[in-house]
Amino acid sequence: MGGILEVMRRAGPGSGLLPGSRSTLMRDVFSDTEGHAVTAVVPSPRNGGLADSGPQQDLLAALVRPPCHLEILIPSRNEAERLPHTLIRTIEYLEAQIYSSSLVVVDNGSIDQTVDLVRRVRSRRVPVTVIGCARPGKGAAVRRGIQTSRARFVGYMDADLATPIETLDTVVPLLASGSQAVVGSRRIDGAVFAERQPFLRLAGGIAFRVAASRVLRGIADTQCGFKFFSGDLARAVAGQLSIDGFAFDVELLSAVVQRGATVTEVPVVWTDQKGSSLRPGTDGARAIADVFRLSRRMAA
Amino acid sequence: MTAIDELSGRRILFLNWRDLTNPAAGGAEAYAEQIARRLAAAGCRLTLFTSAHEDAPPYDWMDQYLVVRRGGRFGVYAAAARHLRRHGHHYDAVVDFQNGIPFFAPWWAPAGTPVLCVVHHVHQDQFNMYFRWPLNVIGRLLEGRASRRAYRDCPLIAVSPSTRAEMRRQLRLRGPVYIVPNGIDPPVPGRGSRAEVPAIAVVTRLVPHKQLHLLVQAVPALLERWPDLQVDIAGDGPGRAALDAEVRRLGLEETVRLPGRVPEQAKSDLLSRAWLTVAPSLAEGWGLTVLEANAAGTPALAYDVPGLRDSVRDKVTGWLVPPGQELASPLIAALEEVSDPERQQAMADECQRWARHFSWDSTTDRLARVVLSELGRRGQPRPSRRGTADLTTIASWPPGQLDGDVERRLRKAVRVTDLISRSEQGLSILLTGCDEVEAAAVLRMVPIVPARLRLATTAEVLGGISMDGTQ
Repeated sequence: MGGILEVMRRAGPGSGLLPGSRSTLMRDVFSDTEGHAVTAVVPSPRNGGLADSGPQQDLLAALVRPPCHLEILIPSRNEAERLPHTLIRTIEYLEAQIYSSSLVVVDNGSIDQTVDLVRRVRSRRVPVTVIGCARPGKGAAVRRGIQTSRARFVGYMDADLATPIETLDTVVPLLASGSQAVVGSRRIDGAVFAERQPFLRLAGGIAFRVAASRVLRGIADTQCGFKFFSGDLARAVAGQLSIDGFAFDVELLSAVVQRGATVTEVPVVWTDQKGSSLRPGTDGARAIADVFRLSRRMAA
Repeated sequence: MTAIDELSGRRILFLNWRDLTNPAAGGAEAYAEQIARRLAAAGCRLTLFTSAHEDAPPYDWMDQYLVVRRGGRFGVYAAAARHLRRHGHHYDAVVDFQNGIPFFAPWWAPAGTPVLCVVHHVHQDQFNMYFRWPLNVIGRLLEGRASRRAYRDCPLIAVSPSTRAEMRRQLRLRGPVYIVPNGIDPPVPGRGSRAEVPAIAVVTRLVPHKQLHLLVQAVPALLERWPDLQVDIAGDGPGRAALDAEVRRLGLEETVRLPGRVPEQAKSDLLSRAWLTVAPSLAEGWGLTVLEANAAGTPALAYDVPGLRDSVRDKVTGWLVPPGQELASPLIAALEEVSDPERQQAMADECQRWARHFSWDSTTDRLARVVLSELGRRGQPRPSRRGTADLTTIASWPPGQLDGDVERRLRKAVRVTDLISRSEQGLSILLTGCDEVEAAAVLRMVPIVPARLRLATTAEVLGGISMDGTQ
């Protein structure tokens, strides 16, 4: 955490982005007419803007966001219809919390002007940022978000708000009391999961769960799009993940388990939203294949 | 040396359905001709292949380029194929301007000849409106599945992000799509100053899909708040009679004037007097009328529909209203806003600055860059560092942070299609098709550290420049 503040301090006065403390940074950010200017802030190098050829990490250092208590990533591809409601609802919730938080939309190559939409969103307390991930896939987008996060707790949720944001009421205290990974689950006691799915989707889901249980034991629902982790743990495992598609969740959780962390499941009141971006044929088949590949890799 | 100059001496073929001398010529023809004229003036040997029409000679010299006219409305496609088969080896590059149905130049041009495809508008829905079975199905097939196959390896050009979205959504084209927006002709300065009383002016072709009757229907409610309101709807077209009848029916002859088609000077006068213009269209390829009003310092209130949502920047150069909503209340709010002289001036400045981004010179430059990049990679596979995601990243540096040599080194390291620009806000570069991480990797090769690195908004993609201070 000291790293980014150190970087900012070195930028010197006059760059307009140099707060004495984090709270002034926030104020600076929101005095900006664009609503949020939290993008890459790097020092002006002494040698006229030229970079020293440092390691790959320097490159990402230019893209890290300021630290906060909780950072929520929303991977999104062509979600302009559903995103506004999700953002408004989430900001409303986060503004009422005592901890600091930020909201990051990861644009996964949208064609519907998602960037403009997110830039228009304003909040007094919660920075809202949009970052890009040219590599297609929810897994790639989440990874991209985690790698440039400096938050104490980081996690992701669906753009359609299928899991109510109030679930954070249980998630955040669990994280604060030391849980390393807290994930929403539709398949444990207390969860409400009204589901009527077409046959192909249903059969695919069963096949996927059978495959996933080979990799991950003891987790009832790997696919609920509501997962939060201790920031350090997430950043540590993000680098070793490789699945871009929907099987990403399984890979992420198994990497977490491999590091000896326990995954805590919390029940969610799930509402199935229309307009899912999952295509059961192609995406589903690929996800199942990915999980088999993963289980082979872990067995080896 | 600009990109246009670099094409000097190159032989380029433009395929366009019609040319400007055709009585049915429209915006697409102006686009092709404006670019053709500028490329030819820079020494490019340009041929425009188009359809024949009455009285037009089969060969014609326009400014400094050759126009070849063959075939009729549909025959032109076969004629173009024949021309490419016979004379294709004479050309270094082919630009295929598709107008519903493309020319399928990649099938007829000699192997290895770069072909670019320019799309103004996606017509899938219109085939049903204008043609019966089986022509509508054939049209949809040619524009959709057949183009997808023909232009698989070609760079595509869209005139606006809305068009690009439709190309991805409806035509499911996967290749890289570059944005090359329309320019506007430099406006005649309007005489006189902004009107004392609230005034609305619209200058456009009066066709049903522009839905100007919605504006007329909103006027009675506006008069309650602004009794001395004036509305001018200039232009001619098939919808004029109906509009006139609507004005009479509501008894608004005192307020709403329909002067018909007006000359350039009168148009500028009308627009620069007005407090705002209105564009309640169903959809547009690109809001030319909006930009013309902006050039006169007049903001626009428009429906949030494809095309218009690109040309109107909500709350900056105008107001976007959800499509289908009645216009009276947003119009009252907008007039209220610009009735404050300070706000009016601020918006006028912003509008004019926005309109200045769209000149035919920069349109030509952006198209020339795509041609150059294709000529450069002839025979080689497409470099794969960047994908085809429709993300654009902007790297920018405040003025004074860079030495003079950086721009040159930057130009050498990035693609010819990446747009570098300098302004009073500093230097910025738009890297198309990559996210911030990939952009940082590209800039490392220079090597250079960007002061800011972020995704570009639609306005920035269109303007080709960072609009940091102005949003």
